[in-house]
Amino acid sequence: MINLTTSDNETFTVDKKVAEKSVLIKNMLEDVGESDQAIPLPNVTASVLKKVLEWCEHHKDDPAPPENEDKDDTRKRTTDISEWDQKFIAVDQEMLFEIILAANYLDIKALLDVGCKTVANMIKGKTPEEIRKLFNIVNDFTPEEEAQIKKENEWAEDR
Amino acid sequence: MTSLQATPASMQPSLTPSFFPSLPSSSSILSTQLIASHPATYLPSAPIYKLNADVLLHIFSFCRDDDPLSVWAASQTCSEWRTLTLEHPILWSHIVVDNSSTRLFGLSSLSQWLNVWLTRSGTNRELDIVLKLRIVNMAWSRKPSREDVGNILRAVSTQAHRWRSFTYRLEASAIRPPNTEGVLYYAPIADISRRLGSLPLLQFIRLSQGCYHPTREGITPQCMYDLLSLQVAPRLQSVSLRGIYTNNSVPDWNVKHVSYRFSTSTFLTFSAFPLITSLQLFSWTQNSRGWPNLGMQPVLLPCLTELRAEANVSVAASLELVDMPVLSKLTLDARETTTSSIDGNGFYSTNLLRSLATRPRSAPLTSVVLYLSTHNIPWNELACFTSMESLRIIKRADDLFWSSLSRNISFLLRPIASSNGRLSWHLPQLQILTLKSRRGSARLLSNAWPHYEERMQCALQARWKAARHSKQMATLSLYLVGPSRTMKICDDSTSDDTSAGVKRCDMTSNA
Repeated sequence: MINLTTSDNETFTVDKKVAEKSVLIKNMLEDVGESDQAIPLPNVTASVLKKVLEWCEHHKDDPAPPENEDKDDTRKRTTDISEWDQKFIAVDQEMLFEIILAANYLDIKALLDVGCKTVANMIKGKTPEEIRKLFNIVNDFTPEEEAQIKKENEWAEDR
Repeated sequence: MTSLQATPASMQPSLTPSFFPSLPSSSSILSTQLIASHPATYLPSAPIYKLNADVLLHIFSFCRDDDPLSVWAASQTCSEWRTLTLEHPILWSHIVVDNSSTRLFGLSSLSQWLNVWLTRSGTNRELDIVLKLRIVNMAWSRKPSREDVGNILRAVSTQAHRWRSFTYRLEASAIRPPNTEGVLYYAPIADISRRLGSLPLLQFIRLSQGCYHPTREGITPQCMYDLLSLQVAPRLQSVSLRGIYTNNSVPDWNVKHVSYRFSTSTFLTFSAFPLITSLQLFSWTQNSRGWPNLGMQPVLLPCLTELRAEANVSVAASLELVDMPVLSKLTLDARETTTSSIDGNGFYSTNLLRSLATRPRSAPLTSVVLYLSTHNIPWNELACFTSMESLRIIKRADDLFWSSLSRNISFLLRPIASSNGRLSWHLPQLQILTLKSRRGSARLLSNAWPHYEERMQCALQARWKAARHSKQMATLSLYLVGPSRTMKICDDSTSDDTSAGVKRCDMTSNA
């Protein structure tokens, strides 16, 4: 078992196999060897780490992904999120982005993919205005950019 | 003591120039200028502003792969997203022209936006080109014409030297018929042919057409096949053809994987790709006869190790004269076949299994996958493949098969008397039997599932016991894969103690 300390100073004791779903933690453990010292994770809060560890626990027995998957013919699909992962990631936007950032920081590629696929699915099929509304994004284009975009859109006939 | 402090590099807040490490410095300057010029409106308080450039790029890469048009939408959402998308040509490397994109961008502007798309994709990035025109419910006037399609192909062929994959699917009636019968249309064939002269990066070709397209419809997938088959493509590894005749020319391609949905020229296709290692074979229609063998010499596919075939009569007939001496993995797919008492050419058949089992040089199959709809498992044919190590059977979740599971796999669970009087077992080398349910109401399966564990443990005891005492027999593990859970039932015993030998692993994920 190993201890992980979050930015809000909460400590989680987890099975080594679960924690090692994070490449960052795995590498740290390999570098320093066995230690009773808690691993500080200054950029992850307790509420986010709890969710991340829930995912790691569920996927602890998953086989490692093939190394050469990017060389495959097929492009990445956003629809291939398992039923469990879909339920897991059905959280509010704030938590969703926190999970993505934590997965990126902790180097948990499969979790990062689940989060990013979910956001990609939210973007899919939407107009720029709909995307802005969904994520509360400010339209901050310069007049030059606005003109360029307007020109692009003038080509379209049926929008 | 060594510090275990983690580096928080990727957790930095976003949307300041320093958080775009992969962008050139000019973009950072641009970002600064943008922020400075919009102090009142630029309030990045929404949660999405926490995402850094690397994460956004990862999200946009999924957009690119699954719905490339959403990259266009992202590029028009806000200044930072526009900068990010336009500065990464890789996000524009999946160029899809389909009914959605022609509707979005408009037919009259096809060439303009396609040129912008190609420009944004950079100059040396590999491209995946997809042209998919399906029959959709829209007015004739809004459908692309043969001239439009010719223009699209002419535009993308300017970058043929960058193609990684080329996909062209044209369904019958997907394009507008010519306005005037008899008016000559000079398709830009010579133009495109010249541009296809160099295909150094091309790895995948997929061509599909719905039915016979007359020449007056312009440049069809068949036409593109005829042009491409004349070219050298040194990296080409996979070809998928549907409704394409390969009679006209035999390409000089050293491909490894071929997928072919055929009508009549199957046999010639085999001859064109003699060194393939995997083959997918489906018949074109339920009525296709596929009689390619008359007067033909046998074809040897000496490297073919993997075959996926539709389980019908015409596919089996097409493979009758094809020798596959090293075939080790067979997938027989009956999902599209029709169950009928009349053994028509398109109907379900296990002729291929029978044929492979009875050949003089019998295929050393070690892995078989069966996609069955309502059909029974062809145990008698399967039993011929004594070296089989893995058998995977996929049935609908609402099939009655699941309600009598023990009975349906009893072929493997009971010993048989061999000629020397000893007891033996079917498929003695079988190590993994996977029974997987696929779509359909899972009610039947859900009702039966709680009883499987105990029943299967009991049912497998005799076979496990026999395996413990025989070096010629492998120990069988059973995987039951349901809609939301997977159960593994295996013999974990290392002794003769039969009462302690069962290990059951419950997995909630649908592996």
